[in-house]
Amino acid sequence: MSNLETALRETAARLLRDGRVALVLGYEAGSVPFRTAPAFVERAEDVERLVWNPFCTNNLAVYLPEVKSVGRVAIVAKGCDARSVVTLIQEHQIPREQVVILGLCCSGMVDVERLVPAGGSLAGIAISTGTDGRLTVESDGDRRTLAAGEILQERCNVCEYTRPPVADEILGDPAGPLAAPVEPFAVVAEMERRSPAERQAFWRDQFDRCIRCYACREVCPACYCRTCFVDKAAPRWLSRASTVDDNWMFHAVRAFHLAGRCVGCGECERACPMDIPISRLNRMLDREVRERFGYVAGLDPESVPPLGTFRPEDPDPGGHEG
Amino acid sequence: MSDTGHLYMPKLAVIDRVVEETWDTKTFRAVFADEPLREHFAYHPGQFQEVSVFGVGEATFCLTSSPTRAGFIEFSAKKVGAVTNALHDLAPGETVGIRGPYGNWFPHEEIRGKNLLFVGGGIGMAPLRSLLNFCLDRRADYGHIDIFYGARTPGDLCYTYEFDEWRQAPDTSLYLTVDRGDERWTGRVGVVPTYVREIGPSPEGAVAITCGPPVMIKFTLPELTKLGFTDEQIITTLEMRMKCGVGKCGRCNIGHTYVCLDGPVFTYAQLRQLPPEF
Amino acid sequence: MGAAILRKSDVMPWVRGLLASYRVVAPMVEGEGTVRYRALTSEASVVLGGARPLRSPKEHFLPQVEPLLTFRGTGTALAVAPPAKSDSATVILGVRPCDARALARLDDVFLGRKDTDSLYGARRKAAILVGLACATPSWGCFCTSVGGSPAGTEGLDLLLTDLGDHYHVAVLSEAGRLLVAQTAFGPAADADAALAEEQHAAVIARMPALFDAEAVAGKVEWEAPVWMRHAGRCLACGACSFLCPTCHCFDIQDEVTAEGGVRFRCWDTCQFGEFTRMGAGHNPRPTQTERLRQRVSHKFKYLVEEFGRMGCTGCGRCVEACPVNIDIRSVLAEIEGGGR
Repeated sequence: MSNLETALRETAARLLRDGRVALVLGYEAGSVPFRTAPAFVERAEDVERLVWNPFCTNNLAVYLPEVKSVGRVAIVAKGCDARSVVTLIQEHQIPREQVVILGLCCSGMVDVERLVPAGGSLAGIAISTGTDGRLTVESDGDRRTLAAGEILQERCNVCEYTRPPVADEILGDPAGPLAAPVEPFAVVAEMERRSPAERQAFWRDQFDRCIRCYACREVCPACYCRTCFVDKAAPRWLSRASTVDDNWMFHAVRAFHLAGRCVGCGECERACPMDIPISRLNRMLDREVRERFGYVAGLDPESVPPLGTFRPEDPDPGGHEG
Repeated sequence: MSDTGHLYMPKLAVIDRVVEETWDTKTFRAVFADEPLREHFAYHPGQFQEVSVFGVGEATFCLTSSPTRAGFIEFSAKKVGAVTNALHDLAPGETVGIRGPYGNWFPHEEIRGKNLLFVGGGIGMAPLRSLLNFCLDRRADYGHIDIFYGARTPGDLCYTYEFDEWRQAPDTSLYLTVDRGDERWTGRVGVVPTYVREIGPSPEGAVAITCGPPVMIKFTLPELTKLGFTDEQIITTLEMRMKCGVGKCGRCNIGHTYVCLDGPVFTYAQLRQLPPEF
Repeated sequence: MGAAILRKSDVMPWVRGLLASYRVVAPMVEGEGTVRYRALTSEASVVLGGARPLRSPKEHFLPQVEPLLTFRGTGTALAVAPPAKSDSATVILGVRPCDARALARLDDVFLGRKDTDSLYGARRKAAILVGLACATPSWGCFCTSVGGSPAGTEGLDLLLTDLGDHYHVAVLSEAGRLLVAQTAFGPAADADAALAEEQHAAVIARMPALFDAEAVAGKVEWEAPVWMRHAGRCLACGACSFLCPTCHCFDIQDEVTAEGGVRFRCWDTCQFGEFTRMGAGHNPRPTQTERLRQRVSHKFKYLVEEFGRMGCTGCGRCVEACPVNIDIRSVLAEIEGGGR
């Protein structure tokens, strides 16, 4: 067990014992070694359930609007998760005073598929962590030792906020540097090198696989509308049928609804059972918002996402100046 | 079934009359486009249909007309969603799709010779009206009939144009009440369960059939029990969200019971066997 | 009913031959590596092997979207037409035993319970299922815990077992027998059958039973902490139900088109919040707790009460797809263990 995990449990126990929070939202061991499950811990004696490891991938901010009725909530948050919490605060989904952000300095989350060789099986896998932090992975006759950092999820490789920018307590190395300069929009640049026809073909192919399970929407903390636009019967915006055109509409409109609010946690893409690289749409719009409005999502609880407000000096790309 | 293609093919029917019952409820009379069907469409009181407005969708409605009156069917719709709103915009002459009849029905054979106690609230009167008119059309087959019908206000009472017919039927009593009266209302003001308690119909050789808003049912049941009605003597029809109506889409189950197949008519004895999920 | 062998090098020639009389559906890899059962396009993309795909052949019998009728005109000129028939003879390759067994569960509902759903029925009748025994379980698989097997034959017309450069082919039905009467197939030797059995046993040995599914039906309780304990983190998406080969709930909707319109059915799930919500707002299953209880009770209790068989074949897709690691195996083990 890492020092960080111990520190996390001690912090959680303290907050619960002191009555400072009614609930700690964290991670606990999953049903297999490479998954964790969101945990709802209400008693100090249960903090032993809490874990912290490179499989703590879920963005727990998604639960805040629902659990806030119990009182003040502490949330175990990576950099991306903390930014989601900030977005929820900005949008009045939870008052700042009602959430205690337990920020964890994060070294990245493992891309589970890469634990085993290509085409290999995760069935019966055993994972142990050495004192040096390296993982030993045994599966199907294959044994390998590697650093989690070698097999991170794509979104972790381009993470700009390994240290939560807003937090009530920071666990991990507070003096540590923010992630080395990265190119967070490399994947967008790569898409843009394709011709419009190629991009269309690419996305038609992707959306042909979409089964409209809405896993992408449900894992997203920013998608908290009580009735999503796709579920409205009157007016009916688009069909529930999973045709390419309707799927495209759904994802495109959702991406626009998230513009300026998406923090790039990548959970939508991880949750998609059809391997659709959906977060590229969000990345693209994230870049647009930064370029046009100089705004980065989830950094300042006091500010408002650009598409949620209007200033007379906002840039007008339509060219109708003055 | 094969001549219509498949289970979900509707028959076409033309709206022939629309009656505005209340500010948000209308009764639609429809006649099947196919002539033989129009005259010989068979159903039982208590069954339901899937009615569709093409381009908008389908919704579930119980039949409120009685099969003793051939040549048309009637259903009542409260404006709550896309389909009911679209229905309310229809004028006579427009075409709807109808699938059905589906479900089980009020046991009108088994209750012959019995005294009948109808307890309805608001639009819950719709399925009861089908059985009531059926029994009134075969008056000699049934014993004494008591009808308790209430609504929030006088403007929320449906089928007012049939009250005189019900009142004047032999050995039949109509007890109307509203939660709140208005300037013109001279009748009783009060809730239905209390009225039932006061009049105190006897459970001897009787059967109670009730349908209405959950709050009315909740307080009516204990009154009936206090009067001596057993759970087997109390019959109701359940409202559940339904889609296919034929036991395939999986939406309307309560435990292993499908409301569209084993219901919507149930006795209270049967309901008590089901998990409390309705 | 006999056996045969099929050399791997003869598979594609055989398939090409089938195309003369059948539509051939096979597991095809696409995009980012997802395998999907699709009408054969490119031979190079066919995947016969590896863990069972995340999508199942269910969608060929109950498509995600299926037209029920088209309509045009209004008033007395309104005309309604049934959909195009989809009963062309089809061979589906690489069907895993769990998925074939699942189709038998769908048959109970669509062909068994009261009226026959002829849309589903026509597709079923027209399909020949060529099975593939699993050589490796996927990490969520638990077919052996629910009375199934990675080499199960229920619902299949043929079962192929990969023996390296050739397949052992078990012939399981008359339709299967007609397929192997073609020249691509050769006679099986006893050694082939023995090797196949050995392989089956080895895979089964890798999948110990996790709980006694027969016992579970009697232990599913209405009021029990197990529901909230697991459902608390459920996000109400449809990943589990849509990937599940036995789940079949659907919605019926209309869509207006330039020519008039179409009424279709599309997948729906009891896990969505508004599944049981009524027009006036009342919802008998208002939270995920009730909805998880419905999902598990339906599959392991209600269907057992109605048909004597569980509505789960242990394919494990729900386990793998759930974004918050709700593992139905854990839920069932808890119920069986009296954790209620």
